[in-house]
Amino acid sequence: MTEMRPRSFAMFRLPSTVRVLEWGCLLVIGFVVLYPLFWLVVGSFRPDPISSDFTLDAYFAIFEAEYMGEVLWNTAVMSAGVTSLSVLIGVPLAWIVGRTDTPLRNYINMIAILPFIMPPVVVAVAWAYLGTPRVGFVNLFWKWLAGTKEPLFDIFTMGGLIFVMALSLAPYVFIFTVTAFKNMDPTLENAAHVSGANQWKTTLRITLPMAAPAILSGALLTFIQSLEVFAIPATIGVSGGIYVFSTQLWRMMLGIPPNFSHAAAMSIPILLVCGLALWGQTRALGRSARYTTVAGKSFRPRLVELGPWKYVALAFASFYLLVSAILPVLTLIYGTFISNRGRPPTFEYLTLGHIHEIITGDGGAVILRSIQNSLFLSFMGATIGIALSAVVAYFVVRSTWKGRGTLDFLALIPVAIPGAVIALAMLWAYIREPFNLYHTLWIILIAYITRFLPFGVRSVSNSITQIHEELERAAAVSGANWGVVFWKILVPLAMPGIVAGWIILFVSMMRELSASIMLFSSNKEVISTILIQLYDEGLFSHVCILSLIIVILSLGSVAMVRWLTKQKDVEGLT
Amino acid sequence: MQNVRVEKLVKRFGEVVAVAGISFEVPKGKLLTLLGPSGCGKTTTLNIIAGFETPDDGDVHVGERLISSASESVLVPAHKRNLGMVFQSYGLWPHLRVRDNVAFGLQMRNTPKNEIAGAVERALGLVRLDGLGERYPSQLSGGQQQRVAFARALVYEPDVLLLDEPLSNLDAALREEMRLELKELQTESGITTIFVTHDQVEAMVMSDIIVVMNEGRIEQMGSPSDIYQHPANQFVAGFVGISNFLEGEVVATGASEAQTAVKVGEVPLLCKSTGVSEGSKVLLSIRPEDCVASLEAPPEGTPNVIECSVEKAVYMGGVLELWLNAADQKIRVHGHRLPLLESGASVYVSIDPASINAIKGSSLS
Repeated sequence: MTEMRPRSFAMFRLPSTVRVLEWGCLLVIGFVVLYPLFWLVVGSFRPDPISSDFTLDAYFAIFEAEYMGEVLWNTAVMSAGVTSLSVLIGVPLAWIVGRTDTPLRNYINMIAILPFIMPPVVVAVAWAYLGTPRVGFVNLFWKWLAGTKEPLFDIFTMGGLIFVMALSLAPYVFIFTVTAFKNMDPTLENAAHVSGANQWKTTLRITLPMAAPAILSGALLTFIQSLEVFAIPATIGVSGGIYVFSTQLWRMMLGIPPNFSHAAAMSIPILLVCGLALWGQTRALGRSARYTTVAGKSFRPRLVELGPWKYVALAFASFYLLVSAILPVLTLIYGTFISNRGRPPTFEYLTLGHIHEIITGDGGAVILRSIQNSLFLSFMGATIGIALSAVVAYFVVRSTWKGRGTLDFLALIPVAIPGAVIALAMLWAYIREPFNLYHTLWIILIAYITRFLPFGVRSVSNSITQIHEELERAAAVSGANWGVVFWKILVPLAMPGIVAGWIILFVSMMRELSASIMLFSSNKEVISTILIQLYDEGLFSHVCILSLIIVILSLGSVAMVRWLTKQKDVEGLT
Repeated sequence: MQNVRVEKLVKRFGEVVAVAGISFEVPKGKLLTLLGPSGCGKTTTLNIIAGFETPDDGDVHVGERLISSASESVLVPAHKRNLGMVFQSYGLWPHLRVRDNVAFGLQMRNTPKNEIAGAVERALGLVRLDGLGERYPSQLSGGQQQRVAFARALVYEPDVLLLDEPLSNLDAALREEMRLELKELQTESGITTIFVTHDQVEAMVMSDIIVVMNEGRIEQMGSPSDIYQHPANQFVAGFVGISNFLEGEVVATGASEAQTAVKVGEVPLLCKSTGVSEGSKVLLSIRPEDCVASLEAPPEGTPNVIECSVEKAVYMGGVLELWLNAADQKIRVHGHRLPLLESGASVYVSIDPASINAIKGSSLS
């Protein structure tokens, strides 16, 4: 009983079935990611979506447009400011948590999950309420404290925009940097001490330079995110008359008639910048992995004893948590239960009326419908997305096929595409034959799956990497073919990662805004678009309730993911 | 039960030749060990036999069945080879109970359910794990996990058993115990076995045949005693046990065994050798434990007595480890019942001619 085989046949897999699956997977991912981008590029050379003429008009038009200079300048100032401020916040926090004896540092470490609990849209609306010059809660408190009539600050400025964005994005710098700090081989620092360097010199000359690639990696991701995040420029920026790239794109699409070609033309350079940043980010990350000792060896890095300074460090970290999470959440709780905005939160002014209003549908029908839509989209999207991710992750991690590098790269691309640009590309690609998906939930679904594919793939591939290859080989030797190995061994063992990935996708989709806002249509609203709509209408309590729902959903999911990852440890998978 | 024939196997990883055209045969029911340092190609060879690597050239037969052949484009996938394998880290599936781990291979072979239960019980009994079937692998000790891995590999009566350094994850005491147990298990079940290890003691204890590998080639193949007592070259002598190497020149070839006269510097020594000619350069390999060290000169007529000066002496408990200067070359000797010697002291070392191997044409490398 023998079989013919191609020369590159590897491992125990049935060559035909597996190769077909690998090609199929590559084609699906390639299509999902590249087809819209193709239409985006084509679209930028056409006068309108229906025409098939070739023209450079759109490029000239945006180049000459008077708003362009201002939008470019705003975007540059914002991105540079947000990236720098995030590094200034994130790196010290990472050092405090990873390398000092600051009390409560394990709690401060929660910053790592903050972006997951506090999506930008929530931070944005909460800070809009906190930082309004006249009636913002922080300013009211300041006026009372200082006894003046002058507000402390105005959030609807470039400074305010940068401040809120950095609050929201600093955790990315933190996550990358704290990992590097924690995985650093302590002997390298001990060697510096022995050579005569004191604590500060060691930190400045050894510790920080070794963490530099990780810091750069986090900073570049923050930069990409600063172009990508839509909620904060759309609330705080637009309220202050500050338009940046993403909100400008939105403005073009809202125009009557929407200016598809100009929007497409404006997206191309941003796409290139993001692509470049992503390329730099992966390179920096690879470099960082070389600088730190990864898995296998476990040691406790040496902690710096800060003495009385540890209370300063604690105060710094607490202040960050206060402004990025505690104050916003308090605002939302206040808004949910207070009868009228501005009332003191005493018992007589508390009410369940706003919640009642939404549930009974008095003006809440739209809200309920949007929650339904979001639940449907997120459930479907997470399920399809994670199934696709599992197959992609399996081939990327385990296959010896030459195409796996391409597959890996394709599945990473969406990280570098701002949601608004994905949405625009989707519009170009799917409103035409043979899809005709305009004004449907399906186009939003495809956009969600495309956008969050990289997160699903990463979650599952982390999990598969931890499964010892001998477990699959043992099954193969025992007589299991490829399909049996996949279903009976791999999927059960990777289940914690698959479920965690599903939850991550679900939550990300529940609150997605930047693509949804371009793709939704009437009756097809989702939670986040309604949230922005309610904010624009000034419905304070409704905004707070909806935001609180998002926060609670996110918190629950984080708890689930944590629990699942713990389960994995207990089972002792190696 | 089948024999295994490996013919002219070649595997390259890019520029690196991992396996350079090796051939060997495992007779039915015997245990053959692939022994060598890491990177010698032993694991690659095993993985080719198992079906995890594609060879660039060469054939593998199990009995009359060709399972892998580059020239005939035959590559039976691993799951159709009917082999059993025990992995370095055991490869027990953590999500399945011990019972289900063992039953897996039978399920893949569509064995009826009622037969599976009995077969699993017997297999667990064979490895003395009765009653532990309901446990999960993580609830077992290292030695027990090891045995589950054996039961899992043997339960469906494969043609050949492959062992990939299965003892290397155990602590020293348990390893010694499992070594003997494993050998018993193999002899009892009479299964043809290929064993991969870098531990020479393990290889000595367990093997019927040892294949010593280095840099993708076979250095020597033979029984354990053969390999130890008649190392074919310096690599084998050095890798299997500890050896002293002395450079010398043949002055006379004797008629009978152990009668070849070799001059090491100015010191004449008798040793055994085959096929060396007068005047040729040879390398003598001498095991430290074959040297007898004494403070007084041995009686007249004792062959191969060398007067040496002590360079270093280390007390090791049962023996005194001596580094000596013999005829301007260094040798290492195990001294018994000797006082702790100072460096510079002089001792007599005598060596039985039958335990000196002359390896021809070699020079110290």
